[in-house]
Amino acid sequence: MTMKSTIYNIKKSVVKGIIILFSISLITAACNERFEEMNENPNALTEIPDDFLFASLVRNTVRDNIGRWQQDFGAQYAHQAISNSWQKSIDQYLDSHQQGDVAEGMFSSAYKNCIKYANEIVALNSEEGNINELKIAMSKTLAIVSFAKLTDFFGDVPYFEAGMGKYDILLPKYDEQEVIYADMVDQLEAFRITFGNSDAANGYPGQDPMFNNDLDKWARFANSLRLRLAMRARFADPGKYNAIIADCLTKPLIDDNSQNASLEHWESERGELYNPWYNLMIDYMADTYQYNVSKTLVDWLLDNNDPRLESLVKPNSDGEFVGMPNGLVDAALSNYIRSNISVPGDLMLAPDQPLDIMAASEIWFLRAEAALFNLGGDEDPNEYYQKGIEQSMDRWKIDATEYLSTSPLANLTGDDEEKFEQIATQMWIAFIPNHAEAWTNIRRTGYPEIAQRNDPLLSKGVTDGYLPKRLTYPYTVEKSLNGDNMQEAINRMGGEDKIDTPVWWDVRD
Amino acid sequence: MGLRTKLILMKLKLILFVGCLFFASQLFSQDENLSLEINNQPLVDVFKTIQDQSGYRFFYSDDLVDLNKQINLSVNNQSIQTIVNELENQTDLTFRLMEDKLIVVVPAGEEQQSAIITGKVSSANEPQGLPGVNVVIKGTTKGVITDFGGNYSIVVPDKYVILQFSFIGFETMDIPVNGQEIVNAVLTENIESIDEVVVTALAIERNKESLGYSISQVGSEEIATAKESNVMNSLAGKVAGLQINTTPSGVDGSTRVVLRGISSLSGNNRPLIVVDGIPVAGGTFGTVGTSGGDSKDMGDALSDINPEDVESMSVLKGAGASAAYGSRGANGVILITTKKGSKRKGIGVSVSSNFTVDQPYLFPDLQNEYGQGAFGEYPPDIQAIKGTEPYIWSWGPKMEGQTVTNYLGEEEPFVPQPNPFEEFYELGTSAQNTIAFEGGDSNTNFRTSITDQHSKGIIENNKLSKQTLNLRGFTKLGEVLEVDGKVTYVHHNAENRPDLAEGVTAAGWSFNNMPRNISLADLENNTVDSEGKELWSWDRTAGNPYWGLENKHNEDTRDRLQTLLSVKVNILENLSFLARSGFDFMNRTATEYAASGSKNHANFKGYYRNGSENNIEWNTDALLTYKTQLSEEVKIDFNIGGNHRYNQGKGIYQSGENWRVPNYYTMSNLEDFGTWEGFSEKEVWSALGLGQISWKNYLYFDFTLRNDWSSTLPTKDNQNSYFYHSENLSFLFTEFLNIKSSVLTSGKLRGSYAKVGNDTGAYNLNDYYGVGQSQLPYSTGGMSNTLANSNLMPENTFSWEVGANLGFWSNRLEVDFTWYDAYTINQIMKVKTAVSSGWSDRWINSGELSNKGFELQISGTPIAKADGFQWDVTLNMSKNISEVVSLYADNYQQVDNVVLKTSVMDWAIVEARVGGEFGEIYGIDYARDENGNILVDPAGFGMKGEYKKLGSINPDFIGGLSNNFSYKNFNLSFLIDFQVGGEYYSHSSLYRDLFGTGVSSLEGREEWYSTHQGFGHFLPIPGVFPDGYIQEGVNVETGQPNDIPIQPIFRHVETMVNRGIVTDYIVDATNVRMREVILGYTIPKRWLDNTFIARANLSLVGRNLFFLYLATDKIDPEGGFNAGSIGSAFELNTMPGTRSFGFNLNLSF
Repeated sequence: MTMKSTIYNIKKSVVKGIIILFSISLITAACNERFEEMNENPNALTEIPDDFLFASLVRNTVRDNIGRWQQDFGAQYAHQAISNSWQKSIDQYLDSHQQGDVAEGMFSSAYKNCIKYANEIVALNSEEGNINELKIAMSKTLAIVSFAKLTDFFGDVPYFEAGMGKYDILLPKYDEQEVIYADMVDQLEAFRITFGNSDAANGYPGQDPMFNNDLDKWARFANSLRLRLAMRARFADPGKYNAIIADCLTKPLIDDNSQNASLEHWESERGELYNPWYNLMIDYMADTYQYNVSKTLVDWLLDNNDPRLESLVKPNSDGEFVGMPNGLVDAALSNYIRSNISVPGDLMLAPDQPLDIMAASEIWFLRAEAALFNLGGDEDPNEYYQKGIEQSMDRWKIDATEYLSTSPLANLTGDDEEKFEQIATQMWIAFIPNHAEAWTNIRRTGYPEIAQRNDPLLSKGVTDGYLPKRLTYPYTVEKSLNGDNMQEAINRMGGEDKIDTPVWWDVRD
Repeated sequence: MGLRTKLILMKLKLILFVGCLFFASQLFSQDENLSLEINNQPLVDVFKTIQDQSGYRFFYSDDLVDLNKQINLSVNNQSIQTIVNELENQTDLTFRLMEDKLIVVVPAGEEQQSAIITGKVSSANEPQGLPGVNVVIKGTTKGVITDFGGNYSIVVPDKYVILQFSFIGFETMDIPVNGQEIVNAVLTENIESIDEVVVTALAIERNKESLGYSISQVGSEEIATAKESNVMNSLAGKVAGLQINTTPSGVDGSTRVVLRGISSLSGNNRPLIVVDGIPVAGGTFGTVGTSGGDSKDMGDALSDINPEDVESMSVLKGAGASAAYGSRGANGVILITTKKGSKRKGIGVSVSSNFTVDQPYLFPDLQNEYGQGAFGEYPPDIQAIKGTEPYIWSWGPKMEGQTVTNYLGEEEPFVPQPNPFEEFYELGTSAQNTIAFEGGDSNTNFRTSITDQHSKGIIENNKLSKQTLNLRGFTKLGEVLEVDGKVTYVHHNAENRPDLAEGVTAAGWSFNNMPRNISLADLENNTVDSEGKELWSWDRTAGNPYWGLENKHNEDTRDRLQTLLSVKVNILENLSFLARSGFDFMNRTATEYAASGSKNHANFKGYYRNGSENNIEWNTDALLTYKTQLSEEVKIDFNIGGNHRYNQGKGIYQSGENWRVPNYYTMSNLEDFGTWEGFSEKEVWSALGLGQISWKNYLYFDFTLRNDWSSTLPTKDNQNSYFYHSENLSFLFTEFLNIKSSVLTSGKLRGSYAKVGNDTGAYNLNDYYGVGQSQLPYSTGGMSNTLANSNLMPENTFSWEVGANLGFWSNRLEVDFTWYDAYTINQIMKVKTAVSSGWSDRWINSGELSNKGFELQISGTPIAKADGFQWDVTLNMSKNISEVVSLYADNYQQVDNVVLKTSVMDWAIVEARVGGEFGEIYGIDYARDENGNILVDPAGFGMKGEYKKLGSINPDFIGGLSNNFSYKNFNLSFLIDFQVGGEYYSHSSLYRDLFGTGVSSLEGREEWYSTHQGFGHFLPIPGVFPDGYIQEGVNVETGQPNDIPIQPIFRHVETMVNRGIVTDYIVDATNVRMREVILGYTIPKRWLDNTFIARANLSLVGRNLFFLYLATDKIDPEGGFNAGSIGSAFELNTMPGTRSFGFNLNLSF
């Protein structure tokens, strides 16, 4: 046999092989249906009742925003607590790598667990012929809670394109805070109207852990949230926001604690049922003292004989209320034995304590502020101020009657600025444990005044001792993947991603 | 009679010989009489007839004997002597009856000159005699075969011929007779020729010469003597290009196996494991992370392969070798062939006993000068003593025997305690016994074995019990049908696998950070306080290991059934059909509980977890094989067939917490619990063709064609169908050029190219929702954070390799060299997304990883003396160069770095960056001036510099050197393996410095405390020049060498915690290790003559004995955090490294 014929034979065999392979491929092409069926995940649902997602959205919005772990920035910047040694760089006004971990956690949980869920519920209720405006309004109101917190912390953040990865928007643009605010207040008014016009049966009966599907409460919440945002923006754009404030004041607001935007908890050892702050109590039971109350807070409560002291602060083993200064340098930290310093009070950490993302006291104080500065309504700011104190104390199961009749702080005194300081300081106390809002309010109002740090025992950090005005963007994935959009935002905010850059609304000195 | 026919006859004789002995020796006695009726038949047929009936063998030279001589013979019940006498009458031949039923036939009259030579043939390993050896008079075709005792006798024309002894697997030996009558021969084994037949893809046995790709085969002796419970560990250092790392993680820990580098960014990089042609599960169980939690190494599926049952392991490297296995072969294939019974006399029984002791020996160096506290002070009060940072660190005062109050509130002297690692860990033991039965004849053989293993870890309650039952049989039903079957059952039970990493009861982690004055006795005697709460457990660090021993328990079982049934039909002489089906079924259960009372275990509530899962992989294939000789020169083997693979996994998992009644560990005793279920299945259909074309005896061309259809990829546009192929060429140039050099014995060049496709896991194409399992008064639902991709495509690996194999001086020296280059594109990977999109990950196709490198193996026999002394040496070395060519880029994002793993606190981060290697270790370095000096700030601390590459997990090269000395009954071998280059992040060292337990944390302490005063030693003593730790570097302001002393505790807090500088803890993994030493002794047969034992061999074995070189002291560089692709990147030193000693006794009856 010649070489040529050999090669021919080989070729023939190969061709034959390919033909056989090809015919098998025709046979198996018929298997596609079988393949598709096999590749359907039996462990999970391809469709889900949207009310399941809604209940999760409510829980995530509350617990991911004001659970204990989300408060390391707020609690320390608000000078209300000192967190564990691993988070001490926050308290020392540093912006190191380490800081990014908590910031990343907050940033990602807002987008992954809140905004994405809201978008999904909106999509499920926007199908043609089956549009449910009420459900859309409820979900988007909750999304705004997260967006507001994000923008108040970071400044410009993804807003219009956020949480839309499913629709191929993988690199959301960062929107200007001013634009975000303008949209949020507009949306909230639209939602308030929707809540007023809708039939509650179209909402989430039995699946609304916050207001139990009470549309009156939803309307009050939307309006109160709008008031909060407008008050926050009023120094940056008084022309626009003073009008909005006046508008909000003409409509129902959260008047008492029964209307709070709040999540109920239960006396239980089960994590999902108890107040997330109860985890701290578990730490203390293990003789681990890694979270203590700030000296600034304890001293204020002591100096003013405030009856909330025992709810917010637990005496140490010697029966004394002792706070720890914020911002100690490492060497000075050694002078403090954490186990000798007070920790948050038992009531605040109680397993069944509800968590408020918005409470009546804040709204009364905002109303007092509005009245004080003639932004709408013509009531007496002092009355609103006292209502605020009353509601705040009521939240800690304290009857304010005695306090309001005896305390020198029971009435607004002095000039408008002094009165404003009094109102803002009361808000600072009333926000606890939503420390992040307390810090934001210090930035907005300047009260209580957190002085520049000059004591050598205190860290000046990267801000020369001044209270930080924002958080740097999360360190890892968002920065590396969506860096171009993030950089655009950084450029808008002055070219550097720093913690002492004020956000848009932070204009009051 | 041509040479070929002669050889065939010789083979036939061997078969007859063996066959005859097997039966005949039992059936016939020497005096057996015969009846014959022969009419005009050629003499040669008469011989055959007699041979068949009686077992007498005729030995003759066909040059001298006329075999066609017609014979008539009619005898009835006559003795053999009578018969040969009759034959002598009819021919002019002389028949001489020898012992062993041998009849020598010579022409009459010539017998006077001829002589009979007798002797015995043996080898180093078979000193009692080698059966079946060909003994031929050189230059003629006359020959005999040795009997079972290795004895032979041969008639030679004169006493001055040369006898040639040859046997498969041994060097052919020529011995001049030189007038003697007894000629004994000791043959030496020829390693190369043993390897000649290798098992390749689809269990096809092939001549190694003809392969176009690199393959390494390791035989049973090497695997079973120095037994490791995980059979993969036996390959460490023996196969070029194969990297094996064993994490110290308790008995039955898993093994990191990487062949020729990491090819997939996010997928599985372990080679496919195929046992007897059937792929088996080879993954790891339980993933150990880098941080806390209860992470355990639950072993890997490979450890279920019983080393005793392994006949050989072939490592097919590179895609060319493994394309026939489909997608999963892209990372290489390890083919395991288990023992079949062999043809033998009667039933063979062998017993093997193995006992080893594991000794922990790599303990970190701990300082013995300073005890609990901070700033040189003992903690001020009991709360601080019990658990307040930084007072739970070892930065307190000097331990000088002064009285202090300890955490129990008791007064005790303040003195250093012995190294707790040395105190706590104890000797581990492992006993393994196997009994195997085998037997067979020319048509049927079988083997069955039972192995029982009991091991105890270096922590007292960590145990393993494993039983393996194996049954294998083969039979030939007539000429047409061959049936091969196997059943293997493994029962595996492990108890109390230790917590690893920063696990809350990970003992090593506690000891790493525990103040140096805390005594283990105190910990052991006081695990709980008066309220029943765990004592000496502190936040962020660890708990009391003794609390764990008393209050935690975990247990897992694996029941595994592996089967194989293969039927081969020999349709025509050159056409056969093989159908094979086999499954690997595994049931796993795992339970774990912790009593209540520990903060670290469900907040004092305690927990229970219980799960079980079933997994099956079922492979069925059919293969039609056609072999033909197209011409004198061209031979073709062609196989065509198909494969069906089905994988299914289902599991149920329960978990709960909060015990109602103490010490009663059942699910119903829990306040809260929930149940989860999981199910997953996939299938792949394949059509394949493979073939070999050979040209003469020197050119071989192999090809593989394969198309897969996978259920996990989109069906639209046939995206779930992918084709791949490989081509391999082998060229034996010494045959081609007809080189007959005494120096260059054999030479081969080979080349291979392959493309291999790959699919993904089930259910990555669609988005899903979950329902919250809760006790809330409303229902919750969840969305995945991973975005599915309905457009996934198969990924592809392309590879080529070239190599050469050269043999010198009759293959006394052999050199094997391979250069390979492989790259993987369109990788299916889960990548991070910008989280503001709402999702944290998504599935995409992208990225290109390249691996190229070389493998070199040099083996030789420097000494082989006639007296039996032999020295064999093998050196293998390989270097892999990995490169991330591209990561991912699509409409949305172009990414040039991917974080593969981060350590706790993000100190060290393993990344893949475009242009870099896969698995580079990044971290924050000190700020440096242009000369590389560390810049020191005015406070005296090293300044924070760039986040940059500080190391790489990839070694520069790895290899092994094995030596084997044999002399008479003794055999000594040792294996040294080495890794040069590569780094890892030593998390434990960083913590020892941070917490002040490590020796290097002593730097500057004495100096600082002796020059500073006040509480916390913050103030300089007036008039004393302040001293302390002085960071080496340059003062950033003055440019002068730094001379500012700092209090040492702050050095670490500031540089590591606050600034995140990790440079000092990225350490060199270079090491040279005495991996294995074996001293074997085969008991001389004469000692066993009066016993029922046929053969006895005793070996003393040591493994991982010591380091000849270790760049970083006291840490096992293999001690990575897990067995994943990048598991070697971080070391947490949770378990100390161990070495083992033992003996291995093999007896056959």
